[in-house]
Amino acid sequence: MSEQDHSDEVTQAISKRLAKLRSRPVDLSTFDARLKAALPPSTDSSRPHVLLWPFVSPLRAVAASLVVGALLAAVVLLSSSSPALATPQRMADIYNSAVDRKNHPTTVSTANEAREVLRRKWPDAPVVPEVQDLQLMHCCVHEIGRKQMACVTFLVEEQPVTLAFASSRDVRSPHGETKVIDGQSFVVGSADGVNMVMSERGGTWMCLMGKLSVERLSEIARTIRD
Amino acid sequence: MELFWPHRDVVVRTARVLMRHQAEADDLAQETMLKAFRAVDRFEAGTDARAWLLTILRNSRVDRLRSNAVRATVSLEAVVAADAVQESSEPHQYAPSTDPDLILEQFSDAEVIDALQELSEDMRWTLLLIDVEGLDHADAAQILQVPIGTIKSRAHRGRLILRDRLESRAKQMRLIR
Repeated sequence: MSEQDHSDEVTQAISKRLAKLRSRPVDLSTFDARLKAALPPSTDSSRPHVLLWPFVSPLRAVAASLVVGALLAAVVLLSSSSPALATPQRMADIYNSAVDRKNHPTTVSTANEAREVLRRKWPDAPVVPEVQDLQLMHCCVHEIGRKQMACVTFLVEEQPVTLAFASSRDVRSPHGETKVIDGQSFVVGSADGVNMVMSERGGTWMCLMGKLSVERLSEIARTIRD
Repeated sequence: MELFWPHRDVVVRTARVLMRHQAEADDLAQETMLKAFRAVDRFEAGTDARAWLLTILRNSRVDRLRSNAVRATVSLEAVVAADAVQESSEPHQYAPSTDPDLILEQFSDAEVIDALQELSEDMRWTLLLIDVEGLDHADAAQILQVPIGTIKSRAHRGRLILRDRLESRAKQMRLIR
């Protein structure tokens, strides 16, 4: 190895070491307390209730509590039955978490192994789509809203690429730029330098994401079979 | 508020690496968050909230340096130049068999942050945005209001200087010959 190559290797290693500072936990306890105290009083939503409460009769208060309770239950029911929105930022976070192995993914080398692992972690997981000729790294299960999605990470051209998938009933793509390639429609997005292409086929929602270009990700996504 | 709240760790982390004193850093981070909450109407929906917060952090930092009449802002270029002078043109003496990743893993985060804090402010900002936070060159250039080429060269020079400093510490720690 030449000195120049070794020098490049060292500067790359420095870059990687600096990137690790990102996963260093930041103690926000004191900061949060100070920030909340510094927020203007107009944002303190508890104040109007304190002023109004003495004028409300106990019976009305009980009725109001019941109505609020019913509304909250309806909101919880609706939010748990409606699909979670896969925003680009949330998906980029999931990608970074998968690549940095923050949620302890299981190393796998074949699609069958990935199926086995996912079945153990999440018995209702959708079937792992067929992705040919890609080197598998690991798989894991993530939560998005109140729903779950499975993630399988591959190595493509030395770049980690994560395929997230879930039932279309559970997760949906955001409204955004849509590209139609070979008759297949993809919602494309990007956040934090992570590109992603999302699609829906046969009741399965899929998102392929990584640092590769959207065009390259679309090419790979087209090769995925349900 | 919900838009910016999840990114406050980025603001606090950046401020704490940027400044040596945690209390001052947290003051700056708090000022940044409050400014962001107040200016939420000016935030363009669909754009990167994190980059927006870092822009506010950068501007707040520059304002503070100016209002404190600290000459640091004026002398930033001089510090950059001084850093550049310190760059060694000598070939580095890493043992070819030594894995740089493994050597760098021997340093604690605090030691790496110390080395970062010895860099000029402009270089520190650049490495914080590019390497620590993983922003692309275009976003970093927009936040620091400099051309992309400047970001690339600052990042390159910053890593070289950091390499020299960590190399010298590695020698003291007998991690390398």
